[in-house]
Amino acid sequence: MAVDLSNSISYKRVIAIANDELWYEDIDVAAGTMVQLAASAIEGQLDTSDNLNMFELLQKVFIVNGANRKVADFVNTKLTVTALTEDRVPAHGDILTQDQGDEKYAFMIVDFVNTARTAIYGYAYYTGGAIAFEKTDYNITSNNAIGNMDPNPILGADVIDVSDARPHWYDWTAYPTITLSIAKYGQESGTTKSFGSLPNKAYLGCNYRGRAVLSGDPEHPHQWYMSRQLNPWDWEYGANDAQSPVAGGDADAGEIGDIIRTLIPYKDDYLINGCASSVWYIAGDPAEGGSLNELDLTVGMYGANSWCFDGKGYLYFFGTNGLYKTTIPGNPECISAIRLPNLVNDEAVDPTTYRITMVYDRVRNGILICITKLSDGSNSNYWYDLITNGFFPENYPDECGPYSLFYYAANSPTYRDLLVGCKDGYIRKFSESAKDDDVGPTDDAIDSYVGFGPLQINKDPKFQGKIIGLDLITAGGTSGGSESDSDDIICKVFVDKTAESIIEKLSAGTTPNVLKTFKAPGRQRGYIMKQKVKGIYAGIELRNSTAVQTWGFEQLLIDAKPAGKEK
Amino acid sequence: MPYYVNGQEFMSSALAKAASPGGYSITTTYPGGVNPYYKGTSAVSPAASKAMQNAIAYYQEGGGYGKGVEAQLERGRVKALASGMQSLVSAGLGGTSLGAGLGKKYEEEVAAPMRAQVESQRAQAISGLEMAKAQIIQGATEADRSRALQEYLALLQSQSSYRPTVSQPIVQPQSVTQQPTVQQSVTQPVANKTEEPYKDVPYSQSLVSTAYKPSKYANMSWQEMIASGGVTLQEGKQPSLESLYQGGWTG
Repeated sequence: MAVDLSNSISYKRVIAIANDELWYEDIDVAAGTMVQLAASAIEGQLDTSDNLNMFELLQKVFIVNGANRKVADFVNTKLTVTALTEDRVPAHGDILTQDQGDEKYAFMIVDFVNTARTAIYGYAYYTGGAIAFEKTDYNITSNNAIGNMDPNPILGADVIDVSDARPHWYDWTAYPTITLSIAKYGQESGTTKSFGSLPNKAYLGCNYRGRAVLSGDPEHPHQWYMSRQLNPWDWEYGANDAQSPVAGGDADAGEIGDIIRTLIPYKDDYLINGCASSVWYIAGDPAEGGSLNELDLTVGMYGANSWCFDGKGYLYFFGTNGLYKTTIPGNPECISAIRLPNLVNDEAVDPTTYRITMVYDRVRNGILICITKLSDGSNSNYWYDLITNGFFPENYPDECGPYSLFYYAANSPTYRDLLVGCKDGYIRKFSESAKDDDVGPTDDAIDSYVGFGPLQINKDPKFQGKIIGLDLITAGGTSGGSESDSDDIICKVFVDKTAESIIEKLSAGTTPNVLKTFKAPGRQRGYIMKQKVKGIYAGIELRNSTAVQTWGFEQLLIDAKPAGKEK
Repeated sequence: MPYYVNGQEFMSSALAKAASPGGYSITTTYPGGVNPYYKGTSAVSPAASKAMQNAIAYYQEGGGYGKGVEAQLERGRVKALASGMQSLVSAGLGGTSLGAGLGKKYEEEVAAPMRAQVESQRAQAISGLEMAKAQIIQGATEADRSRALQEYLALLQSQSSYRPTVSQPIVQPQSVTQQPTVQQSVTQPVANKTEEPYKDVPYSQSLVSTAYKPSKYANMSWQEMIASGGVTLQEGKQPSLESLYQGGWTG
């Protein structure tokens, strides 16, 4: 049986902010086409020189950028009206109706009203052939289900504009005060009901269990704030119901909590609060039997985006002593401790000047950890391969310095990939076929290498050994064919008396004892290095840094024999 | 359920019989249309009236009723907040706004419903007391009227040659519609006029004392008298002794 999936489509869009502007993927134009939201580009709306985070909730994007708290609304219709009476706006959830005659009706489920009471946002639907709200000619009445609107109806002449030009851009504030038409929120009918206020500043935000969660408040850095569930406009804490807004800190009773650096929602089950020197998690909903628990009191998290989950539900994060892996609940384990014991000191990252971002690459099955200096985009990155459990250091051109990493599970396979938001404002992705790095108008050659060693040449480290031959079979088989062919590979051989001398030489990459270029692909003439070198330890570096080239090898064979006692 | 005697409605069977044509009911006219034996005053004692007022005052605002509830709520509030905070601390949520909401939670879930219950009970109590007060006053008034009527009937009986010339039923329609009045008006005259206790005699005998029967019906039972058309009970069954005693039909 044929299945028609055209009736209902789940749209996904990439939203990106750079250079103080919000851009969104306009799928009405074409997938992958990014369009600037002009209203966001007005000066003062956003400041990308400051910390900025955003999250998705209720088909809107909520942006926290210090005092700039904004909403990009992709679902609602906007009615612009003459200012409604103070404290007499329609309530969240009330239904507005416009009778357009001939049994044509336009309805709106009210979502939000701005502070000036001049803009009503809500989900619109129509019956009887109506296709939109109309201005000027028809009145709009409220059912006053929760709030008493005044005037009711809004006269047609007072409906200044109707807009379906989504996304709408507006300030994220608490809902304006309403006058209750029924007894609700523990209050009597006829009384006014206010909805609290957001913190003055916030730099962290997420969606947890349908609540908008805020933190990173410089005035109260230990505090987290949760809106009413499924109502990001209600911040009136202490309501006596299971969806009540809640605020709190992460600490034992009687203490002030640790500074919160990141909010990590895990499904609807846990909210991990990564702090400067501890990690806490909220299990369930705090207003409905949930609990706040310590995950680890000795490990802190680095920053807002220095974490990710893999496909098995493990949480990875950059913390006090390197890269950690944990379950929730669980005990974080430092997985970089053996291979990169000095990772944190080596990188010397300062949260005020660097950003660490992490993402799970579900295609390549690994974790990408990017450490980027915010000022110039210089970066030091690691690919942690989940198959080999190996770390592969990387760095990209400064223009490509990652400020943001995101795996975009797009509807279109063409755009379904790991996206890198770069320092120069471009969104890039990794390519299996490209042989250079894109830096905008030009390309940069990729300098890639692998080092082997220190290798003990002789079985007995008291004796020297002699490398008498080195075979390198490059990737690709014979030229052409189905397998990708390698380009030529430069091989450097280092020998010395101590292992650490080899490490130093490999690290410096200079003055090799033998330097040879192996032709590719496969076994080309001269693929065997016949030059002999003698030492106790050896190191080998294979490298290619030529533009428009890539390389790989199939096998490296070293022939060696004893060479007598070290003199 | 009322009696009907020749189209006249009576709540009291005794009065109905008194109004039956040719029966012991005698139609007459009081001078000025007023029973001269009725003094027009109730017989509620000052002590009873005072007790009733005290009871009402107790339930009114500012009275003693409900004062203990507030103290109880305050004790409950302290305990609820303490245990609530302990629970929050156990859940790690002691440092959240949930603690500040404990008072509101208690107010909404415990205190407010209890206050509403107290107020409801207060209103019910006052309403009940007011009703009882009204019934007592009404009952006392009717007892006075009934007693006056019986005295008047007795007087008429003693004046055997007396016959009224104007047909006016000896009834006080407005006053006999209240059931408490029925209780008073039925039990009082019968108990006074029958030789045996009212509860020990059959219904017919209890209501038709030979002393009241005109000579025409002197040898008839009450049922025979009804059968002869002298008196018509137009609705309902014969009242039970108990229902009569309590002042109403049981049907």
